[in-house]
Amino acid sequence: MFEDIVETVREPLIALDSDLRVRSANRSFYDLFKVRPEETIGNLIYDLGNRQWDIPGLRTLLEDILPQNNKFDDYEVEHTFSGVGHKIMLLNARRIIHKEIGAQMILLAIEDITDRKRAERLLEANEAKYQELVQNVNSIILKMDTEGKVTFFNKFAQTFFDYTEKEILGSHVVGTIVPETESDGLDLDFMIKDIEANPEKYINNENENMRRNGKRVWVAWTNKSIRDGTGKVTAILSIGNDITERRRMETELKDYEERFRRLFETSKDGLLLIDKQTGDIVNVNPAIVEMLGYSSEEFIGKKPEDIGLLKEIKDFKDTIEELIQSGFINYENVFAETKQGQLISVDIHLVDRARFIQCNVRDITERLRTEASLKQSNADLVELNQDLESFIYSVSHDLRATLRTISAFIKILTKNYAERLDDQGRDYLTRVYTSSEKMNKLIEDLLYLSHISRQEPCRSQFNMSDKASSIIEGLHKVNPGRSVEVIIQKGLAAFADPGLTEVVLSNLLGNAWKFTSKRDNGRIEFGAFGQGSKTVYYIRDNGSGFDPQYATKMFLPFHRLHAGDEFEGTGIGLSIIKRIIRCHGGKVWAEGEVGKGATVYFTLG
Amino acid sequence: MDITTKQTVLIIDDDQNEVMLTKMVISEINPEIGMDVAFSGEAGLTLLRSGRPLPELILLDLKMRRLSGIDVLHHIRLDDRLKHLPVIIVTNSALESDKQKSIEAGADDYLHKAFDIERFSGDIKSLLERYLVKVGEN
Repeated sequence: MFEDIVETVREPLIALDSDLRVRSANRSFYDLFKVRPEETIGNLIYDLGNRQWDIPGLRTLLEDILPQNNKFDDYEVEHTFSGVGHKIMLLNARRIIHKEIGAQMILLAIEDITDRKRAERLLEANEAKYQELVQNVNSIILKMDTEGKVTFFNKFAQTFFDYTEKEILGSHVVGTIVPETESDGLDLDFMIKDIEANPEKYINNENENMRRNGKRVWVAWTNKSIRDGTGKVTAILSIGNDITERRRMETELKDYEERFRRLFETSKDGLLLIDKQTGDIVNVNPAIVEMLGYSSEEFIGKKPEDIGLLKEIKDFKDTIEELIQSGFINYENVFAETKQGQLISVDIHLVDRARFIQCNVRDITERLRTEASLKQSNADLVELNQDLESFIYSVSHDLRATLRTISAFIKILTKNYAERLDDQGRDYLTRVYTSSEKMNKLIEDLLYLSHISRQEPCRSQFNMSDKASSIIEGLHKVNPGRSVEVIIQKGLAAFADPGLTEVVLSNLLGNAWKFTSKRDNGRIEFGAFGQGSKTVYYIRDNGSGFDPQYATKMFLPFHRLHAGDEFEGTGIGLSIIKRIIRCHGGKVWAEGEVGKGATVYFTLG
Repeated sequence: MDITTKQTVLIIDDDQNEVMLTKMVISEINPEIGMDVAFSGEAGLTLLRSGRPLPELILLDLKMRRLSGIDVLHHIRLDDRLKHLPVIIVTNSALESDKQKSIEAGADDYLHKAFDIERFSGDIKSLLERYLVKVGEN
């Protein structure tokens, strides 16, 4: 009876003794596992089929779980049998009492779920692959219902628009990823409704969309309507690609073309575009029409030499080859011939521009004329300057010669006739003589000024501090009684004309010496500091100073800030300094205040 | 300054005041020195070629109207009878180029007239001592 039951069950079933030996098995079992009854019955289950059933999972089940529970259900075991291959099985077991023999038995039902499981796994794998594809493809994939509410939004879309799935699902596209109005005024709200109504109209379209932060992006969409069995549209599936960069480049290109066209049209240079293959002119601007006197139509299809350009070039094809190699060719100051046969001077620049050669023609007639006249003006100026210098020199020279005789005769008069004059007469003579000496100093300074104007500085390296010290020493010799505090910064070097620089230093230190003469605690300082790449030297005193409003005027010849009897001087010293410093490429300036001293700064180029 | 025989200096200068000063300076140095004066280059050359005894020294001004000192010097150096005469260019010009031109034209010396008459006198004195024959040297 029991065996009959076992036999009739359709799925493989075996009955085991309590010591796990097979008591009986049904046909299905034998079929499935390709074993025969004689090698099965009475054997330990683990030993079946050359111990193929010695499955760890089964051991656990039979020896650990079953003794405690009396049954187990749908226990999945996976095993590779050497005879029948890989199997996935669902095991169900019951511990029962065999009434006929009065012994415990185990019924073990084995369901082969290998095929079903395989199909399931395949399906899962496919589903995962599909999910992965949809989620991670580098395109926006979204689904919305007919009201425009988002029902699917892939990962790429989430990243791209910066919305989490939770935030976007169920939201309306307008106001989230679709701005209510496109930048250029198209009403998207209407379009969304229209897509819902006529999806086919929008299979492919480009839209301006919006990121979460409001930033506009351009997306190329492919839209597909999803319909139910009755043909009613239930959803819209849209796949989009980011084309913001492409749109931007297109716009830029358009702008660039527009700018280029405007430049081309308005350029004062004549411009021609020449086909690189044929060497024919394909486009000209108004300036070249004006310059050469041909109409636009007359230019088109001609070679440059036909319209009077680059006639000296024998083979324009070679020129094109050269141009491709070098990118550009310049012809400076060449002739172009107008339609009327007039020759004009031009600069021609050929530039390789992909399919075309851009030919710039600049009329330089006016420039050449200006250059020539500038050159002439310059030469005139140099001549004038030389004339002026020699005039100053000759006048000073003659003045000095005359003055010399005046001064000499006064001296003779003083020497030989003094006793015949009274005191007042002798005083007058002294005054005339002093004046003539002063005038001589003035003329000598003027001569020197004229002389150094024609002199080029001959530079060498020398120690400025030493020079300043020896000048001060000289001044001390002239006025031994003067007590002046002199501070000279040590080791100041200069790369300049030593002779001329000495003139500058002795003038400036002489001035400082002179203008501190009326003070008890006179102080003169010579130093330098860096300013950018330049060294600024300065001479500072605490003397009588000057009114700051004359700071620039004082460098003009004969400009004296002090009355003649207050401080000696001709008023040319600072002009000499300015000339010397200017011929070194340097600058000189002064700061001061009445009664508070002065500082003169200078650089030596 | 002792000079045994009568020696003569020829002053060629077109400025009467300058000539007067130079004469005063020389006669103060030594009243024995004879002085001839020509108030132009042409007059100087005429005097030199007149057959009169030649001077021992010529003080020649550089800047003169018509014939300049350099022109006169050229004529002297080209004249076999005159070319050995010592000629000193005496001028107000401090230009190095004028000095250069004078030396190239054959001047024996070049004197830039000092503004101070006493310094000028000193300069003239040392030139006379150099170019005129002194006592005992004859």
